[in-house]
Amino acid sequence: MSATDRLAELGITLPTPAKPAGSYIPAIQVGSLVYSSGQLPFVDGKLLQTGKVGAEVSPEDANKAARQAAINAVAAVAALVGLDHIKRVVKVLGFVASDPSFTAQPTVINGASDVLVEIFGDSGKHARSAVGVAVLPADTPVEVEIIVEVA
Amino acid sequence: MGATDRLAELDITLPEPVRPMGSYVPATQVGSLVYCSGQTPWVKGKLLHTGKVDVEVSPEDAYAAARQSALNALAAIDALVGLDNIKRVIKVLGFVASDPSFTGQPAVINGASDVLIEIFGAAGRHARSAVGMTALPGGTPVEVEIIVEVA
Repeated sequence: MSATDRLAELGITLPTPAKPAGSYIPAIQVGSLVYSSGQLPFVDGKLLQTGKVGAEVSPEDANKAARQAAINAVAAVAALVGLDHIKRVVKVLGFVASDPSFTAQPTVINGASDVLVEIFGDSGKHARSAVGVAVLPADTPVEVEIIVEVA
Repeated sequence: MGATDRLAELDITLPEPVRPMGSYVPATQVGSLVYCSGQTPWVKGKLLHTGKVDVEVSPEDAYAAARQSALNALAAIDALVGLDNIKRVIKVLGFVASDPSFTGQPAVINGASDVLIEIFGAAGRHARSAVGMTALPGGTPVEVEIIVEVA
């Protein structure tokens, strides 16, 4: 099943890619790899949540934010090369704006990883790092960047 | 125009590559990509600024620090492959030492992105993530790593 068909089955609509917040572009291809810029959980121009995880934002809500950030990263890649040209997800880097006592970044970034596997199946399985940072742009709780292989 | 000529036109002199602060090298090449290590705004053996952005360091000074960090990243790549062999800038990852209330990381890291576009024009346009950190090595307000494609 193509990724486009799978998205329809999952009831996921890829949003229009968010306008970059600075002097950069949403995604870039070099050889068979596409790198996305760091994506935030914007939906219709608004962040799903703001604040630090473990303080203002619950881990459950942050997991949803990570899922949306990954969907937005897929949208950024799809706008450049077309969704059905994505062969494989190679790498995810997830940043979690964290209260200093919060150490469950992996569970939060699972929101991104899980939706990529839902969409791409075995080809969605990827290497990953998840880290806690002090603060993120616009006070988003989560930022996700991905690297994919394209046909 | 080659990058060397463009630097002369912009009146920018690349600094001497900064000696690594640990057990790593300034840059490595794999295939057509060069990865540089995280670079900080050292100029003649001193950091341009120290401290957290929006506390000890203004966002404007941090923008200048990001610009210098990007130039130091180019110096590291130049030493490995030669500046004029850089074909394209692919990716920038920018770390900003931030007070937890400061959410303007993208405007700070524009200092890096803008100078790359000044030097390389359309080939300087890249994907990017910008994040806020609790602290960075040596008390630098900014650290920047870049990936470039080389001829």
